[in-house]
Amino acid sequence: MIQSEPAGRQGVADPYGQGLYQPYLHRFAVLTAAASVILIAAGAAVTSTGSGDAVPDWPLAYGAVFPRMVGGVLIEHSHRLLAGLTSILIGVLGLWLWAKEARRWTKWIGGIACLAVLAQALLGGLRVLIISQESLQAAALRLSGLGHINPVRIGVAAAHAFLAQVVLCLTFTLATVTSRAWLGFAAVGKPRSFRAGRWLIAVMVLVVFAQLILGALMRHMGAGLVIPDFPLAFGHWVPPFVNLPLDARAPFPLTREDLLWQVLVHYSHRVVALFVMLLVVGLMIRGKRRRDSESISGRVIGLIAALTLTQVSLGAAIIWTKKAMPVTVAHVTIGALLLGACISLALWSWRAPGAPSEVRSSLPLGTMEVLPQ
Amino acid sequence: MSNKKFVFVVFATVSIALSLAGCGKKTGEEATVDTKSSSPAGGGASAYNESMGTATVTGKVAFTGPAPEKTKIQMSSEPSCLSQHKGPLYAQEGEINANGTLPFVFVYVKEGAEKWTFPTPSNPVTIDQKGCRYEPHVFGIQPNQKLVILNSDPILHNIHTYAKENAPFNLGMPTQGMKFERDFKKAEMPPISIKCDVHKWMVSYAGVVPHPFYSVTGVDGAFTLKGLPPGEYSIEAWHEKYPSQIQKVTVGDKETKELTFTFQG
Repeated sequence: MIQSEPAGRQGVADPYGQGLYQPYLHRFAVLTAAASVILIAAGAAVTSTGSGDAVPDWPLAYGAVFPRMVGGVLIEHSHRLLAGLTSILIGVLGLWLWAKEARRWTKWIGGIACLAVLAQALLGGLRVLIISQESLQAAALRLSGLGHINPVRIGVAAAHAFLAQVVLCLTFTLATVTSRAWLGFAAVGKPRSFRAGRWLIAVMVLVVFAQLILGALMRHMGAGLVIPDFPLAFGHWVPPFVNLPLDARAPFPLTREDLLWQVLVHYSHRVVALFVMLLVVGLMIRGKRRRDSESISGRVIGLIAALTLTQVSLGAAIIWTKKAMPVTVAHVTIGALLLGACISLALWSWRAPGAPSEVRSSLPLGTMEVLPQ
Repeated sequence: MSNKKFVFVVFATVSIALSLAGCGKKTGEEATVDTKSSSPAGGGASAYNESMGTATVTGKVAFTGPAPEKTKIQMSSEPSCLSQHKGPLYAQEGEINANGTLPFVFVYVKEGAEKWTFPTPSNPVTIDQKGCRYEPHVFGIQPNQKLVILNSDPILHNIHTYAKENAPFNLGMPTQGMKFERDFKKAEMPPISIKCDVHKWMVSYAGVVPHPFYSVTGVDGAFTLKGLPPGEYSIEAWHEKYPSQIQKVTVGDKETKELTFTFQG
């Protein structure tokens, strides 16, 4: 049976002052994190199929809550419904944490997640209305001082993608810190053993986050196939930036400046991917040195390595299949999972210093015992 | 302020913002149209009058090489549209005429007409959504000329212009018989892509040129540019799938010149 008393009341050392494990709360947090991944996958389906403007009004769809679900409406409105469901889950999770969670910082993370998902919904709506509402479009142009709405559209879409990753990070954080293992119960292995790699992991989180934003920017700029070959770029390891192949007679030719920006963003995405792979190799070497393969961090590193390998393969497949929709959606989804795994690993690595160094897994739930050092 | 009150205030504020953002123009609302005419050419241009336009450029757009692979349109999700067509439907970008010419080529004067200004035509251009296709597939229009948008289908469409020079618009047209009016303020070539994001195969192209010297090839692959003042012109032939082609031509008073553009498959 789960006891509901804080561990500290039983006289057990509890440097974090966390509350007891609440299985239903944790499961709900995991469900919410899963929903945020599915939502990102649905968003990728919208972008990949060009369905973002299939429903010109917002928050309703053709004036209805449930329009006729066909073609682009099916994809865009499903994304909106999933967004609504995820928002409700995050809202409930936030309220649950506020009511039942002992740790104040966890309550605040729940609150921030609620605000982030609301801002995310507003940005999604703005992305649609900035094209379909002429008055809003004119206001955006006045405010930005730009001559055309397209850069604003890309900016709003990129901000929407950015907040999606923030929401994902917050939900993965909540799923991690409400877990039984986090709270010290039945901990597997030695989280402390990975303390030395925590800066490497922090860099990994930032780089993966930046990589996902670059990817989103690339998608919204329509630059996914601007470099048509892989692993080379226009037949070279580094694209010929000063002499890019500009086809002025193409039915819809790019300007030199647009082409340069698209190639820069696309190529940066590839370079950062290489950097991520190097970081993963670094993490694996460090983990192996510390014989960490059986610990939580060791398992997460294994997962991160597998996800990274899959992700790079999918990235290559996007070029080779000329952006086949299922491949693109899988690539975005794996990217989200990778970021979630990195966040989880980072939390573990930064928690380790003050955490109980080893905890017996055989203890009855609801009790903690710190083993002698 | 207590924590609970703070949370309530934040939620209420965001909810109000959310509601206000949704209180825009309803889908289907009839649009107002700014039909002010504008001078399409730059400073120093003189007004064109019909008596100047005695020359004609005519010709055809030929197609050589293997015919492109046809892309079949899957319209089974829209039986009301499917019933309006006989036999299988293919994407219009891959159509080749029976006489070996190319349809849907927008042929226009690219250079040479800048020295005149042209009045905005009073007759509107109409684009219809019929049988889940746009009619016409390719058309020309002048800046500020009225564009009438119809939905003859008993199903919903959105019409979305992917303009790069002009302001894009995206209109929901959920019911049969709906009508909007819009215009494009600036000349824009290559043509503006017009798409229905609900039905991906629905696409049309609007070439916005600051003069009336344009033509779209049909089932015979022919084009005619009438009313040209004598002079030297660059004529461009644009197609949605193939690289554009440009030819120079000089026409004299009451002269007709013939051009042939050949697109390679």
